[in-house]
Amino acid sequence: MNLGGVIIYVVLVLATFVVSQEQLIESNDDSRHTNNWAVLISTSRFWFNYRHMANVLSMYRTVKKLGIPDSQIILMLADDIACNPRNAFPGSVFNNADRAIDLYGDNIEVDYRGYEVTVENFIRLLTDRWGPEQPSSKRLLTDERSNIFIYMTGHGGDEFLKFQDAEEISSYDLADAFEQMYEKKRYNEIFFMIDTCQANTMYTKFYSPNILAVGSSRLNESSYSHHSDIEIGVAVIDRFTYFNLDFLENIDKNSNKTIQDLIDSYTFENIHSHAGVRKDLFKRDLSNVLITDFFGNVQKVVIDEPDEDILYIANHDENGNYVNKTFVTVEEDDLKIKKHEIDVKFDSSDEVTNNPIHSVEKTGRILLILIAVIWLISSYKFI
Amino acid sequence: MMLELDVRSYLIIAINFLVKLWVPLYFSRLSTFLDNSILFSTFINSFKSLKEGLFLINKLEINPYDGDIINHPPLLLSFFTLLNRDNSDFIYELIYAITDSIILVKLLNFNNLLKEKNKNEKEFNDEDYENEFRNEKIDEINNDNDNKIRNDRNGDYFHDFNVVLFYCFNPLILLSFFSKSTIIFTNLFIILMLNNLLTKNYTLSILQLSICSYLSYFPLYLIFPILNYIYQDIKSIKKIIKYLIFFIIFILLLSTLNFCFGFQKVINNCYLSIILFKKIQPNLGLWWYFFIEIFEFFNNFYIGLFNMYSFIMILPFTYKFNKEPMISLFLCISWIILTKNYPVIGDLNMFSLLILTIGSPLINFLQIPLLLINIVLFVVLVLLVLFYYLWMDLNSGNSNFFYGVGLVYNILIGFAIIDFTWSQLSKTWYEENHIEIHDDEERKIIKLTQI
Repeated sequence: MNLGGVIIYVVLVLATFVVSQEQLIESNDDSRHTNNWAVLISTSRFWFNYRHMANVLSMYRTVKKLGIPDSQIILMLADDIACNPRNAFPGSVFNNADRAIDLYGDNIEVDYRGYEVTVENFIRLLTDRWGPEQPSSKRLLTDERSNIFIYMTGHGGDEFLKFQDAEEISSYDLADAFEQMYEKKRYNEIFFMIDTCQANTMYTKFYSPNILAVGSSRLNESSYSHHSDIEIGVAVIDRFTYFNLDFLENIDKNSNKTIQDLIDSYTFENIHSHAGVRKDLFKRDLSNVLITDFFGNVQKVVIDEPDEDILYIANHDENGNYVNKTFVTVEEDDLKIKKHEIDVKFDSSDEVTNNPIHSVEKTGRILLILIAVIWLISSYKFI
Repeated sequence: MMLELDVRSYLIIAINFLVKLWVPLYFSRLSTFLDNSILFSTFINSFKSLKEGLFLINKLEINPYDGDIINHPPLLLSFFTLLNRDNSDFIYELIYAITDSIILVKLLNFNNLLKEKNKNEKEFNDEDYENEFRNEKIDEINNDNDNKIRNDRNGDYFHDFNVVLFYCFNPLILLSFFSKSTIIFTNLFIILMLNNLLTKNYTLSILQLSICSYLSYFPLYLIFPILNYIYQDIKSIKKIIKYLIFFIIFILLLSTLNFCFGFQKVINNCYLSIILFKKIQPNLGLWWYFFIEIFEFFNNFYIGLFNMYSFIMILPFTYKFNKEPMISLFLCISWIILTKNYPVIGDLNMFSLLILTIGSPLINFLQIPLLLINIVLFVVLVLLVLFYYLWMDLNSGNSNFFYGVGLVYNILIGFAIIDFTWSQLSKTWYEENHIEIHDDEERKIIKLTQI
């Protein structure tokens, strides 16, 4: 044990600490995102592709339920189901034969509908290459701290996805679009989910980092629908999406479930096809990635677990007496004040002097009397 | 002004007033139903928007011309505000019923004045005035007060009683009245104006023309035939200019209220929305279909075209019939009715009243009998209502059906105008060539054709 050896030993120990610190920093699996976006697209139209619309609308509902606001969801649908003349339940879209949930509801916001769902618009959306006239509600205004959940459904094949019977997008196009997004620092992480036939082929060509992809079926394998509704007449949901939703229905905003749990729930017996995952581009370990990293929104509130029973506090005062607070007395003076506040003033514009309406009445009266006088005079032929 | 009518006429006039006063009070939904119908009221003359304007002024105290809803001129709103502060239904009924009765009374007056003028002219113009017996017979028939309805028209003008019956029992006039469309005020002032022309009270008629054109925009075009009429009587250009200046002064006077409400806004709402056809609404007229079917590139072209079309026959009619200025007025008013952009049945009523009074000596010379026009009109009216219902409520037809029938309606009026023009021309020809036609058989001897 000489001094040199001690010093080397100490240095080595410190080095391991330093190295392990770096490793700790590297393997810190907390996501660094600050906002969440979702791009949900159904690439088919017509009545017999009811299930694709229902797939996307279900995902839309789930994503909204878990907290992503409409301003951060881009929904691209052909939107020809709810008001289709063949729809036995006009204005409604269901994803289950029990028709328990109406997906179409009252407040869905479709950003691209009908024939606006094209490959060009999709790629422009992802890369944000628009002219100045494109409204910001139809743009993907993400930054480098955004996690994006991209869900695509429709009819697909070996490395392509069909858009509305007119065109296709290939896996190369998609990969290049993602690379452009990476270059422009438009995402932190992307979770790409695709539910079509031979879906896994669509993500084979990705080459940008931080993309996690799941697909519903392998090459030469079809994805199947789950069930159909007798009265609607067509299939209402696909299997892959059905089981995803099944898992996600049990997730709330505070859930700690991870993506690995989701992927573990995919079984061949359920989906009837081999679901695939591509995680080599994704830096974090999937068992540390929360579902809410992609499906929910970053919350700005902290949930507080209250110690006391809020219901009790609301209905009892300090001494423990029951106080009935359903009837509130309002002073009459308050009502009177409120009435005065609702007075609508005469609208004054730039060209007109601020005449209140009473002078208008006076002027009108004078004018009418003048006209009557002229009438009388001229009827006696003085003029 | 004192009318000498028989008891039956007075009775019918009184009952007419009472019916038109009380029926809408008891059947208030009738008025709403007809007001919503496209045949009887459009944007510029609907009672609904009048009430809305009054509400905005009186209760809410906002400028009613801020938005696009009110298309009535401010003086009309002011008039109603003056009379009807509390917005009571009865006063509305009263105003409308009184207006209607005034129209009827003045119509009778007009008819009588025309008869007198015709008699005077006949005595004056007819150099071979030997057929005194015939004229006496005409006098006897015209002044015959205690008789049945006359179907034979040896006299040129309709009997008073017939006029009263026509006006009080005409279903279109009744329905147009019950819909409370404000076109009735325009019609009132046109009739008053025509009356005052015959009584040679030209200032008053210019005043009434100015009120009329202030209320709706199109009677403005009538300044030309009226100045021509005055000129035929006075034959001094200076006085014509005087009357023109009066007209301009009156219009400006009426428009002073516009400044209180925001001049730009009032002009926009009341007049520009008519000229530029801002509110494209399916109606009986010719304009609307073009604006929903063409490319926007051609909008301005068609607006200009239709406005020109509306004006283009005024000067030719005035010039051609300058020796018979009443006829030129009749044709000009009819032309305006045909080519208006928001016509209603109230305009058709005006047309039929003019035919009843001014056009009645021309009926003998018509090529298409009036009965035929009436039958086709009946079918057309039924189809208009039907196709509008089919289009709007059942979602089964489309605009083409409705416009097709609207075109037939306009063709009818157009044919009537052409026919009356022809009738006047042939009558003039007969008079110039001193040929007297006494009845149908003599009419068939000579067949005039236009080269």
